[in-house]
Amino acid sequence: MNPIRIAPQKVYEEAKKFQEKIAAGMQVLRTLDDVHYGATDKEEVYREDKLVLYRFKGPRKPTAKVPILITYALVNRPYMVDLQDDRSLVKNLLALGEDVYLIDWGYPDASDKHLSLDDYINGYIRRCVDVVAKRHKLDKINLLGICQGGAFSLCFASIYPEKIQNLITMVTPVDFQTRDNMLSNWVQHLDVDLFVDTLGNVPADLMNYCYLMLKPVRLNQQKYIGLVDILDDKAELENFLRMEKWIFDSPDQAGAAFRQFIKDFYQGNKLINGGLKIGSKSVDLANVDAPVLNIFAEQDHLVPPDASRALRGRTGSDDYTELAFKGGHIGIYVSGRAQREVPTAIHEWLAART
Amino acid sequence: MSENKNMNEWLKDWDALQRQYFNAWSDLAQKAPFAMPSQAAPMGFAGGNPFTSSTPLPGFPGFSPFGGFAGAAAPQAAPWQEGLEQWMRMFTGADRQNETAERLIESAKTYIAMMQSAFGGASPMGEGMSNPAQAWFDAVRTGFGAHGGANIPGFDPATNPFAKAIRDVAGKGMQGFAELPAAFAPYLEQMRKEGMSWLQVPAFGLAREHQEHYQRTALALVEYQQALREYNRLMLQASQRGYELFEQRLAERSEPGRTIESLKALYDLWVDAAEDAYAQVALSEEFSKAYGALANAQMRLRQQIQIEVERVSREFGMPTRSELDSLSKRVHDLRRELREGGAVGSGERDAEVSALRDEVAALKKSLVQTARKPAPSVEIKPVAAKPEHAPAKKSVPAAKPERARAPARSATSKSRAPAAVVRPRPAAEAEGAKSGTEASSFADALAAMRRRVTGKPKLRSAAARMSKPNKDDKASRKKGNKGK
Repeated sequence: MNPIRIAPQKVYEEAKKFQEKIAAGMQVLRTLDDVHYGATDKEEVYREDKLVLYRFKGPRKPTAKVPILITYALVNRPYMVDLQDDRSLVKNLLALGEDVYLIDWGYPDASDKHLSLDDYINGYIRRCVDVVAKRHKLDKINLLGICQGGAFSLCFASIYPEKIQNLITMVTPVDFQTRDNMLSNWVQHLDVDLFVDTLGNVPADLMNYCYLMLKPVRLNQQKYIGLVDILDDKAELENFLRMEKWIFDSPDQAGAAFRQFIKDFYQGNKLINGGLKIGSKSVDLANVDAPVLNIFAEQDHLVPPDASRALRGRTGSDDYTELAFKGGHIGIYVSGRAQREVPTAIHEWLAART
Repeated sequence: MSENKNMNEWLKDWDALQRQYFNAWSDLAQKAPFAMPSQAAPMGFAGGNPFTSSTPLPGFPGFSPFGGFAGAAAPQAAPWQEGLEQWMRMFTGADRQNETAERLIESAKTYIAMMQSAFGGASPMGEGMSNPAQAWFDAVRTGFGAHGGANIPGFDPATNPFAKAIRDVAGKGMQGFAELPAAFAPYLEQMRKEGMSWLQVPAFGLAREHQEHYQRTALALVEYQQALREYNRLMLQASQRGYELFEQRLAERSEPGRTIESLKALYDLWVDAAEDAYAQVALSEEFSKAYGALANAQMRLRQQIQIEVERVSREFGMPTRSELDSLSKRVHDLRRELREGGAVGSGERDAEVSALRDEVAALKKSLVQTARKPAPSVEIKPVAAKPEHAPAKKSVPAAKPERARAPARSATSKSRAPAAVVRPRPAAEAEGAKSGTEASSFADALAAMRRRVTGKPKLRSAAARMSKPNKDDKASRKKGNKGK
């Protein structure tokens, strides 16, 4: 039996409809303004070099006694957590009474190429944690690390356990050498010293090429063919463009930090194998004694679920919770399901530990 | 349409469909609210029917179904794609969202190519074949191959990201990079003839350093091209494997209820197959090595070019990247040193500042305690008479004032600090206090504390150190203590 039963008339109809949608969509595209992002008001509370620490302002006073500091990855901009009004982890956390701070790393330039993980973790993050703690007259605060920022948060919580009340990791790689980790496979034979010595900072475009090549057909082609279906819907189109902006609005990577991250995390897998040092301070996950909530995405192509699940049993905390989200690395922030499930899960988990 | 129609009837139907399509497209274009660029009239508008191309339709080898309507031959080889490009040209003038439109059009072209090929797949030609899916398979393969080679993003050597990265990553200044192979062509040709030994020839004389540099650059270029070939070979392998998987999965859809009934479903099936095949290759150790080798080779080549750029820059008196790196490293180190010096809990200086803070806090506490207990009145009473006050460390001095503790000598001796500012007063004075107002004795005590605090050189230096700590402080403090 022929597996394909498409009559010529059907082919014709599909082709015609496709072209009509493109024609209509092109006109919609012409009418769109530049997309804006960031739904929630925020105030700057600390600034250092290119880093800015923000505190988000909710519609009412926070009820939570201990604030949350979000530590995002270096490889993308952190406004993903507050992309737009109906897609905002931050907004939903505020609505639940949480008090939310966020580190914006800024865009490193050539003068920042020597910034190391020591600078980021023992320097920037530590000072931001201290600033937040001091503002609230606390010794410990809640830390929420996302993706690479989650790995940083684990390091921080290991080095400074006395500063962390609760630790939340989202789509955070812990085992960097799971079999399905494509990025990891690609860098195993990379001479990262040569790479960084040559490039200085690692250009954002090069990073984006790598991410697109994780799923080359889907991310370079199928996505845009799917776009045709929403071309005549201005609101949907704006959502798409906002996401496009976030995907390609990437900072360059400070060379020294990139060098160590590839060497120690991807190639050495030292977060679980041991031997990791950030500056002069050793990292041992067993030192993490705060309660841990580990949230990962089941369809994550960047940080495979197994890479995150590896945290189980490796911290020194006897209070460890896992949350598997049905979605991908980006859907965990912006999907409708994420809006319903993730902020509530975080809030309830924290409330139970206050 | 009935499957029993003969070829002529099919062709008539196709012709009608194509005309219908063309008319719909023309209507759309005419209704567009912006002007058509004169140099790029939409398909069919330049006097040529887009469907009069003599290009054989896939699935109809050697046969042009629209030959009967040929008229003036249109230049477009792929009229549907040309239609998309026409929309793109009209859109290009807009200020916003151009990139999205370009990406959209590029992707749509491929999809349209598949649709166009699929007309062949939908033809009755497949009906008599032993494997009816083969016609569709061929149609899809042809469709994806029709536009830009393999047309899988990243699979095509012309668009592979590494090759593009090496051209683009450093911006306009590196445009000459792409021309490097041409510049080195004579050397490479020579190498091909003589083998790589040419690059091992020793260099002599004034230009020997330059010659060695160029030899290394040529060698790096050869290695890069070899690595790129290996990478492209694996990408091609992934592409071929994708079609194999597609064919297998197509065959699996023969069961009733699982058949493909739209072009979009067919396309999605192909995407799944292509991605799965790619993942198999991209997760292999062979690919890992090829990827690493390519990246490393590219970096070596780039370094050679950077060396040359720096040499030329120096000759023109221009600052170089190395110089700027050196400066930024020094600034970075100074910045770190400064911050670490001011950070809590790091280093000897912090410990010293912390100790001084403790000392000052103890002094303050002592003042407050003294103020709350104008206890000097106690001092005048014999210890024996008031045994209940016997924490006699304070009352004893009334009898033995000479043993009163001196102000704390150690910055860390918190327990001693309160005692440091409690001095016994002469009995007569104490009597006066007893008979006088309590406020008077409180004020006296407080004033005495203040005098002592401000009169002590050590404490003054402590205050000074708080405002401007330095390494010498510790030594001078020790020295001062010894002096006591």
